[in-house]
Amino acid sequence: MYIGDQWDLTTDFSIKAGIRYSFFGALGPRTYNIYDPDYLPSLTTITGEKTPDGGFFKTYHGPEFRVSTRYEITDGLSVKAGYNTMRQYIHKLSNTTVMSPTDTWKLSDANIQPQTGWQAAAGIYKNLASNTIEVSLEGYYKKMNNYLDYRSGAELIMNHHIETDVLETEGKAYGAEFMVKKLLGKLNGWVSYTYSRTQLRQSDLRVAEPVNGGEWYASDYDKPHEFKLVGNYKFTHRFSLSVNCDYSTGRPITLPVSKYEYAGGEYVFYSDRNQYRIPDFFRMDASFNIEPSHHLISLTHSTISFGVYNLTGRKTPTRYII
Amino acid sequence: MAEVEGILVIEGTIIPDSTEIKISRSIGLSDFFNDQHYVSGAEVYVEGSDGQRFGPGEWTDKGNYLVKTGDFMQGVDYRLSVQYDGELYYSDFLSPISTTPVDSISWIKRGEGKSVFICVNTHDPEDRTSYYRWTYVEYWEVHARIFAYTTFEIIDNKEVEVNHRMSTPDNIHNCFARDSSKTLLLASTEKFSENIISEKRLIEIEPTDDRLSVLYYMEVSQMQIRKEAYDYFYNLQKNVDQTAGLFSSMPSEMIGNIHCETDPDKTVIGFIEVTTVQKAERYIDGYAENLYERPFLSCPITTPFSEEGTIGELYMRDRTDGDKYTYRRCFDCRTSYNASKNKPWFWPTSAL
Repeated sequence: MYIGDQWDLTTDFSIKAGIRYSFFGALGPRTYNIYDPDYLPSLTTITGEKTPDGGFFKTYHGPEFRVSTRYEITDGLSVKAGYNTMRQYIHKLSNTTVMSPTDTWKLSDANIQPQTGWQAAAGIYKNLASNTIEVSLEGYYKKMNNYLDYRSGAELIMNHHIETDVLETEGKAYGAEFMVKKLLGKLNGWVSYTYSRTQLRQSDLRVAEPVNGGEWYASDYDKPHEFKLVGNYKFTHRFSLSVNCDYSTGRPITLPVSKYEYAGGEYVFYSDRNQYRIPDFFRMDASFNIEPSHHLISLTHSTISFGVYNLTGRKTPTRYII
Repeated sequence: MAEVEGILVIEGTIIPDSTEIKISRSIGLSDFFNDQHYVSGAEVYVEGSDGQRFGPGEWTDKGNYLVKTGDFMQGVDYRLSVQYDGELYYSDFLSPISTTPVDSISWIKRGEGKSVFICVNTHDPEDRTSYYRWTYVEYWEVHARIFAYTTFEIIDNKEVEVNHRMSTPDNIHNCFARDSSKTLLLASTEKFSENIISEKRLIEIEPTDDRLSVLYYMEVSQMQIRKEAYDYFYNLQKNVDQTAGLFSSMPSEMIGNIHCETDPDKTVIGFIEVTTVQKAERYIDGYAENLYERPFLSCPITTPFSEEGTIGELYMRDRTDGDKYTYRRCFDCRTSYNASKNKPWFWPTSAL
């Protein structure tokens, strides 16, 4: 359920605000465990079992607020700011660094709370060269609660009591993006650079040995530097060339760093969670496009495109074998 | 590739009579183990919460220190203390667990061509803890296929002709091999309604293995351990067995129970448990029990007069028909895995 409105207070200043109220219910019939609240959920702290027959056995609901403002300082120069709160009832658990069919999606239930959070963002925008070039600088800060991360040694696949292998953690993300956009003319496109961090922290006091000693650590998606370029050059109405470039810091990874002898066998020692990164990602694609016909009225419009993907032939690692 | 080395690894369990502690260092992932990783010169003590101190541990070899502990005292907790390289390390004080005895050692073979599993059975009527750990040592007798009468051996860097007689230990037909457990053998009865371990597999032996060919002996050491120790060893084993597949579990960070007093940030690998050991042993005659399936071994016998000449090495002089030659693996039992002429003092057969 959502209600919102926009107010134009002056010609230069407007505010948009809204509230959404969301409701989530976990439906039975199902059997689930109840755990001792003094300890982290685990197979040894089960205090009982519930088997509801049908209907909602656990509900979550709450408001989500949003407000955004826009202020035009002078002609072509404006400032925007926004703030909103969020609730999310579905969580993704992955044991790899890429999306894969083995990713597990978990809905909130009696033992897994929904994620909540808030985000604040602000930006400054300037149009140049008679509004053909747009330059912007934006920043944001986001805070998340009950973000699901896996515990050490977790089993994520086909785990019927996955609450015993995950932890509700605290998350934060912040960053700034600088972008230049050219919308008109033979040469058009945009280029942007973003600096962003996303980190998690295991602040649940019931955890005996929190990851990184209870300090903030890089989440799986932490990529500090990202550079993107999308460019088009229109030689004529028919022929154009497009290029896109993507560069980002490698994702964090937990690696084995040492090996030792124990009880007659060889064992490996792993680094702290997400302490290392895979090599940086870079990709450049280019294509040459031909539009054969420009009839205003035609049954179909077609484009012929000759493209090269990964122009530099860069190899992106998908797996490490040590 | 990230490489860290030199993390201190302290291995061992505090048990009555004498406790063996092994101290080594971790090495880089691309390095090889070559005995350089063992740590010597450490001062090892077992300390009781009553102030008693046992030690210092006597250096035996390969990073092993032996501490004479004697009996556990009632109501006393014990811990390990190691002093090395200017740092002091302690394990946590733990109260000794009195391990339940082993019920039996049994074997399973599901049919022809299938492996033999040696298993342990036990139960704890007092349900002291739900967690168990085992180690074992094994000995077996192995014979060569063909009896060698005369062979060439390298003695003092010279090739010498040696005669072997069956009735004396200088034969190379009968050998004795030994081995021990190489992985962490663990079990938990936590999810069972009773504290019973039934047919826990300790080792898988192929039906063609030498172990089953003459006589096999295993001595199992059983220890009951607490949950923290079990979780630690279980994750240790899981980190090696399972990680990095699409369906496997996530790597674990290992925190043992050994802390560096002088430098709290130092990582130490290992969990020192305090418990008692219950031993059990069993002889298995793989041949009599129909467990052994003799593998094919190519042993062509040739002489200097053979068409293709001699293959392999000399094993018998024969002036009439020609000296006999074949592959060394056919007549020298010492080429078998871990085999030597050292007969264990307790070995019941009359083989020499």
